[in-house]
Amino acid sequence: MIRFDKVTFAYNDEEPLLRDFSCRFKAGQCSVLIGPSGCGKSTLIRLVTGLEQASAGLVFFQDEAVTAATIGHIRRRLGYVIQEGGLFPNLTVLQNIGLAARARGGEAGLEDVRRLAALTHLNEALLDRYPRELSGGQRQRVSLMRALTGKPEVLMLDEPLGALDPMIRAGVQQTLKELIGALGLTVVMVTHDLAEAALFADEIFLMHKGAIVQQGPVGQLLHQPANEFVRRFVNSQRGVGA
Amino acid sequence: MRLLLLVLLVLSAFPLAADEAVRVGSKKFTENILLGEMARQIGTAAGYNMAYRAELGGTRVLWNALLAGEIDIYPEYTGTLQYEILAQKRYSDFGQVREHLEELGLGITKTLGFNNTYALGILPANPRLKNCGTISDLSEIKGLRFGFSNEFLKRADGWPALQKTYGLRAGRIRGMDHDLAYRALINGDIDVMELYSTDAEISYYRLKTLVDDRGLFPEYQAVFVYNKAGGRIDPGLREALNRLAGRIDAEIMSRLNARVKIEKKSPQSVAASFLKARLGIGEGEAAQDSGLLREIGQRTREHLFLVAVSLLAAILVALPLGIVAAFHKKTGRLILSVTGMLQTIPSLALLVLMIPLAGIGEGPALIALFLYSLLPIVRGTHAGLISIPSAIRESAIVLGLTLPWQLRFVYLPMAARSILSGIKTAAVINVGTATLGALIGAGGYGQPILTGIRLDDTALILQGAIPAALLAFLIQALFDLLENFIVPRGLRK
Repeated sequence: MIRFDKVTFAYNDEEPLLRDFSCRFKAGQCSVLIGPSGCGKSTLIRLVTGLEQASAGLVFFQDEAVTAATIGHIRRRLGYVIQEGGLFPNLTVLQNIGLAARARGGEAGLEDVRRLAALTHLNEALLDRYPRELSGGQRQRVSLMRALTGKPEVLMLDEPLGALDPMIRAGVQQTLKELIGALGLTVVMVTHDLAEAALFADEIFLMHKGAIVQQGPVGQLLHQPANEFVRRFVNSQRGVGA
Repeated sequence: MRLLLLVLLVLSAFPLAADEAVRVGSKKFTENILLGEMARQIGTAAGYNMAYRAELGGTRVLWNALLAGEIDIYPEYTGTLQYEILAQKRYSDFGQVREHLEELGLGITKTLGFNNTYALGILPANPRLKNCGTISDLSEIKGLRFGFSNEFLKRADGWPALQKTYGLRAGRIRGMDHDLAYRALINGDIDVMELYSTDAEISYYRLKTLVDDRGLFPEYQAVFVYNKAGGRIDPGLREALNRLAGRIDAEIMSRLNARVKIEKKSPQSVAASFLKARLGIGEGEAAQDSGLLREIGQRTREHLFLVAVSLLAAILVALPLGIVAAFHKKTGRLILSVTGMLQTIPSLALLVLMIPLAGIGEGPALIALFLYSLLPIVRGTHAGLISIPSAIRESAIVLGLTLPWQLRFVYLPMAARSILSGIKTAAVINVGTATLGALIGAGGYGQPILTGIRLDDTALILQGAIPAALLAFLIQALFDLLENFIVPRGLRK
């Protein structure tokens, strides 16, 4: 579904973060990118969404290379959720969804919005509220609704629940898990939390300094760490549940 | 935006000046204003459509306005034409001056009958100047404080000539408004000032006039100088104006000046009663002083016109500039520094600099106010846009919103408060700065303030200052109200 082919990328004039980087996220499954801050996991998502451009190599979305010419078309096929939500504060929930629908060349009637609200377990009474009138968890549910507007095939989630406190977080995780299954979405998720990765991942990609150090199901990371770094990373998160 | 358009429409329904009228101008001192008023009334009585732009500024402003065809006629003095305006030609005979004017397409009327020459005046009671009777006597005394009009300081036949001819050296020399110089002299802040020999204050304050013992100051016979182009000053009008020839001697002029300056009569009524009594022209006192409310109403229209038009134009230009500045860093730095530089030009200088480019009247004032309004609006727009979190910008991009849509539905509403406060700042500054427009004939609340300073009339000054302050408050309140409609509800506190 999504493929990186010998991608090199650097922020401004810094040392390249990615060098000849290649990997593949399979269709119909949830790929979770995990690793310490600055390892490049968010960068991968930003390259797919066209927020950053590779200096060499190609990023493919299905069999289409991500370029200035194709990015508009590709963006219509993916939903994007970030930690801060990125909701437009001047618009109500309904208007946020409506604008997203129109940006994707469609319309979002009240029925469509109700259906999305049901999917994300958002109370319909909140549809006319402004983002600042919502709790953090409610805001992320709305962000999910907005990302799902226009029926994308792929969800790109960049630490979508990172800012929520644990109780709320568990609730939204549950919702997210359900709707991924119900809609049969391809998901690429960035997190720094191994427990969350374990909950969602069909395949985990553990990254370090711009490279994938181990790739596989969660059990493999836990029981057969590829090297000393993987072992230390896993141990550091073993605290409570994982 | 819609509101501003409305204001503009309403304003444009009141024409500010007739187009085909003969335009009389005058310098900003009483005698010149009176003479201009006489020309207007004589023209009107002879059946001409006359417009009067009184108190336009100093000699240079009037001369340039006449050459540029901004006005058709104004009162001038022969000495000023020969020794100041055409000083570089060093004409020794006024016939040569007449020929030169002819070549420029200008003409002059016959002399009106009085010589308003320069003189130096002192307070007779000043102990340091007890024994002074001539200008030469001044050169003996050290540390004198001079107060001259700025025009006199620069004029070839003014201070530079005084220095050369009499070897005067000033202890301290100050450029000040001619009317304020009288007050400074009476208060003892200065020792010597220049006088116009027909000034009403000379006899009123019993000032001592020093004898020009080396014959420096030439004759300054009053005339009207006019532009022949356009044919507005036709033989009939010239004929009518020449009825004034030789009818005003120095004593009469000095008395007429006193009636305006000391007795606070309006130039209109003083001119009217003179013309009626001496020449049998017009209706005498019938030229009534306009009522206070009508006067303020007129000034308000002029002021609002200046503020609204310049502000609207500035919004139309500054908003896109602010947007470009926010999205393109390099261009943004250039835009911000250029608009910032414009802001540092002193407003008075900017207004006067506009005269050669845009003439006199509303035009240059509008341009100057427009330039001043740019920075606050550009800065407000820029600041509002760059403070939008990158999470929101990137969400908008990935959602597939085009830049125009991003701006229309997200960025501009989010920046509305900041943009609005920039516009508000510009508007309030404009209300204040627009009062300076009166210096170049743009009218507005500055007009009564200027006239009030000239006549030493506090009530008249307040007639401009109070409405200007009220207008600034009103605009502030209006924008606070507007904020409730324009700033999206989701962003209000």
